[in-house]
Amino acid sequence: MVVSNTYQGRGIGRMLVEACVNYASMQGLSKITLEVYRENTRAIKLYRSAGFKIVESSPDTFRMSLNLERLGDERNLSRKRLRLLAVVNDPASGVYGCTKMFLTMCNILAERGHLVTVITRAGGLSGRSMKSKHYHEIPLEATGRTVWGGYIFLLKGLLRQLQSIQDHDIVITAGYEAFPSFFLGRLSHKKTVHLHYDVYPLSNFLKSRGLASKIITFLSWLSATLSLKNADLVLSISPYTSSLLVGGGWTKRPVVTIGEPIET
Amino acid sequence: LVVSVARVDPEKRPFDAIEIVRKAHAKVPQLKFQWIGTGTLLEKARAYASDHPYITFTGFVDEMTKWRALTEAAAFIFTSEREGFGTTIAQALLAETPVITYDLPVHRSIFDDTIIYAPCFDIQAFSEQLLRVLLHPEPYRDMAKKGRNLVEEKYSTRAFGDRVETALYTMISAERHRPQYSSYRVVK
Repeated sequence: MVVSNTYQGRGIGRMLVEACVNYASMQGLSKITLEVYRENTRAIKLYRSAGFKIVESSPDTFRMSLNLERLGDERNLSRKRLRLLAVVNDPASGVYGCTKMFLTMCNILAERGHLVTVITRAGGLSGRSMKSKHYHEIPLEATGRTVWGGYIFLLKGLLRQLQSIQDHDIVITAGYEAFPSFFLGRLSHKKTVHLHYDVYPLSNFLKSRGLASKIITFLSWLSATLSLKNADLVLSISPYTSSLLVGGGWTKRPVVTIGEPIET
Repeated sequence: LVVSVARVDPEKRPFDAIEIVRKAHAKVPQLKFQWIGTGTLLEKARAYASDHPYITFTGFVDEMTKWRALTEAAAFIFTSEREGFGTTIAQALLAETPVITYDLPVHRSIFDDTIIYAPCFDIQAFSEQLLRVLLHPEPYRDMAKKGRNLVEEKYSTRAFGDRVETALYTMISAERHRPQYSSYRVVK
């Protein structure tokens, strides 16, 4: 790891170390080891401050190591309670796919003690198939399955989002209806997270029938694209989806593959 | 018993499954097939399969019934042509039931070598893979056990929650340490 002389003293080294540590933790690794020249006292100080300890020495170098399992325990003790606002703009709120996964994720985070508020369709998935609901739900009455009904539902959701947003730090959106919620999150200076389930905009567009449907599909695609490009964090469902998002230039934001939670 | 769990929708290719099972049934007459799930093609699929009494489209069933079918099955077949994750594959692996799917990149990226692949939309090859699993189950059971370990290790709710939490904390912490670019002097 090296920082150019011109840019030293600006916290870049610390950011690099933290990025390495976080990446290694997310990969489930248990230890990081590094080697540093004895005379590089600034680097040694930096590594020490990040929790590395000297475990071996040679005439020229020190070997330093960081136990990530212990670090994880320490982080858990001092972890901050996250306050998340999730908006499900899909009036259908189906039992399958993205919506189910999205709400399950919200439930898991709420179960872990975070404040999670979900704006979603009344009597939708969460009312029927979630075994026990830990998140706080703001239910929206369905507005019919027509195109206009969908728009009215979307607007109702955004109004409720505006009412609740100040009590939250992070706005999580998902799927192809994400952008309006994402945009409100950005306007309110909140962190924005986009959950992306699949990358099939073109096939959805081709399969859609009729001009109205094609316009909706196009707007949905645009919505997801804008959210992807601008979110502070993109969560993706599979390594394949992540590789498409990054390799296909859909986003330059950090993409984390989270998979799907399976009840074991 | 061979099982599939998916919506009965065009992208899940239920008619491929019927053909695959029909070909395998010619060699293994005691074979029975259940497609669990509902969808837009349910009635059409039921009508299509009505000549084959060993094929059942159950429609929606509760979780217990689904789990029982998965544990009793000798093989799980999944003919979907596009998938975000493939939750039911993971559930079949948890039941240690060998899984056969079309060779979609998304399946390989998640389940790697713990499931069995057939070339995409090649019904004959899929059917032959199914026969191999039915007639020589041992190595495929071991594969499924490996799959079960993979799912438990990587996709349990606990592992999933840890990953999401870490990602969110990392996002917040990255912001805290983001340098204030506006305060930098531009050096020419």
